[in-house]
Amino acid sequence: MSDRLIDLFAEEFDVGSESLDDDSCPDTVEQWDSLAAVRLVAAIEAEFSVRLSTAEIMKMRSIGLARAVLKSKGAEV
Amino acid sequence: MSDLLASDQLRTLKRAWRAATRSPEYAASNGSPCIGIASSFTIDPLVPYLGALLLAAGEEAPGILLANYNQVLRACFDRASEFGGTKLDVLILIWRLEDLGNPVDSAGIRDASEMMLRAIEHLRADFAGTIIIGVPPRPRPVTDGLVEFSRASELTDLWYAQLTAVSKLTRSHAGIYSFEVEGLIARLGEPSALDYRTELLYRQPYSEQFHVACGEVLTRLIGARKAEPKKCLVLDCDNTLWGGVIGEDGVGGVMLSDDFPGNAFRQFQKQLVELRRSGVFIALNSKNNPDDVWEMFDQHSGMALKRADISVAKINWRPKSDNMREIAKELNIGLDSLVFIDDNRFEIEEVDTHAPEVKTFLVPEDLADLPVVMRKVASLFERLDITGDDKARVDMMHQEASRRELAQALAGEEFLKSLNLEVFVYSPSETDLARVTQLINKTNQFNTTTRRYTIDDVKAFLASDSHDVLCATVKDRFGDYGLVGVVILKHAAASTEFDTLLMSCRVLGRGIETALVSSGIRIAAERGLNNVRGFYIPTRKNGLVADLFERHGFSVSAEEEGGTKSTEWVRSVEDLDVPSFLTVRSSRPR
Repeated sequence: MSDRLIDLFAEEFDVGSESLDDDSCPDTVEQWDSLAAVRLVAAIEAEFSVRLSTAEIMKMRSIGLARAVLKSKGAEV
Repeated sequence: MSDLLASDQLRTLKRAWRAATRSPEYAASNGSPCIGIASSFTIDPLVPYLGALLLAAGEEAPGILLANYNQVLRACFDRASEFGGTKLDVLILIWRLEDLGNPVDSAGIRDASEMMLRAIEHLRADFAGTIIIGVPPRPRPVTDGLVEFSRASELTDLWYAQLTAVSKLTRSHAGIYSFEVEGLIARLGEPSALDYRTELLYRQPYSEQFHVACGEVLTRLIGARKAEPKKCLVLDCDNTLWGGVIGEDGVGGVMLSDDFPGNAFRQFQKQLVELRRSGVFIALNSKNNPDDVWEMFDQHSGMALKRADISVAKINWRPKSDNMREIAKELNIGLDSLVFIDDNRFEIEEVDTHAPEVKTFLVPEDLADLPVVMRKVASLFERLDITGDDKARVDMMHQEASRRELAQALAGEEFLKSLNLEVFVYSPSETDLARVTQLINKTNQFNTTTRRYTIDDVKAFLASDSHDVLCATVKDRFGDYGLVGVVILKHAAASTEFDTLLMSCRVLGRGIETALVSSGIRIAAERGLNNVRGFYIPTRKNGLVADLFERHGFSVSAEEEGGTKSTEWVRSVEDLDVPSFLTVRSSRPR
């Protein structure tokens, strides 16, 4: 089953969805550099119609943590 | 122009660019046009939007390269360091005044922004492509507010000065264009254009929306570089030049006055007159009775456009597309040089169908939108550049002028002081030898003797008691120039000889050669010798150093007759002052 959040990360990193899971983080994903991080903020905000605070952006150090932040904001992830 | 785009539109653009850059055709091309971007802040999100918009505008494989973060000056002075060997067609420079220094240090920002303008002049002299400047937006320092009003206003003054300076620059040099970043921010509104979160986190001050808008403007500028400007504006009459129908309402009944809606048409006519004065042909293409139209021109006091402004008039009942062909023929221009404005959708479609080369515009339903349409129309007549031979000649003249200006600028102590130049002169270690040998064997211009040595020769000099080898590394506030100078000293019983004295032209005009000579003199003095000697062996390329020894207090001791005309120079070992803007260190850089 496809997962909106995983798909979004996969698109930004230009990798297959199957290579990512909630444990994926900058240490395990080569493409997750600081520039990708900037792109991710824009993409996540657009996809889930949320506005992230700096603290929330900095919390998103893995896909799972990003999911937790989004859930806490009432987004459907 | 652009209203805010929905998030799926943004994503569509990004996807289009990603798909295009993945294609094998794209990979095979070098990028055309090849566009370099240097910015004082993080501007990476611009790339996919600009790329996608260029593709949509018909560019087949635009290439976009980003300079390193905050290396705008470097990109002007040393393109290769920022863009590698890629030949750029367009270089875009975008900076904010507040990025040039501490926001409250307006003196520092003033110096830095002046240097930026000099850097751009240098770039103009040195770069054949198009330069596009994002005019710096009004500074928005964090302290901006009533309490800080005096400081804030100093910055604002600087901003005004910068606006004027950039505008002068674009007018006085061919191939420098600008767009207003502040205008983009104003159009989108600060809350939509700025993003303080990404500014704090990534030094990326602008939003996705801003980057799209910026991409649109740049696409237009980049496209206009080569688009042939239009030459003739063709106008319908009734409800285009005035409100109402002349054949029915009569001269007294049409609307063309100081009140709405007549004032909208008047305003429009004034814009037409301006276009006419800038060299655009104005033609009429109207289904009307010619006498009625001319009566209007001759008798209505509200007509800003005069009969004499009209180059060709086709007032008849024939299809407007036929009239278009006639107009083009009479003016001896191509059909594709015509732009047509009409209030009738049917006429627009008729022309679109039967004379598709003509660019058409419909008078907007709400006359308040007429100036917006007119701005678009006017932009089609804009000439970004003078074409052909003129352009080449103008460019060359400007380049020569800029070179002279730059030479003056470079000679200016103030400029050099601001560079914080440091030169490190030291004996090369093992890891430096490859570069030292390379310089010895490839430096042709700034080289007193042009003697070539192998790496083993250099090693032998280093090991020998009768020789010293020195190398020089240079740094300034913008970065590291690397190892750029070599001196080989040969010690005899009474004097030391500069066997080799060479320098890369990269660091010309910065007093580095004086540091090299001075270091050689010091070594001779330390050995207890009284004199230093130098040879100038002329070649076809090293005229640059003919007066090097003379400039450093040497006098001629021997001159060869005929043959190579080498000169031998001699000087006592008393200290040689290096320029005050240069810090000399006798160690390798850390």
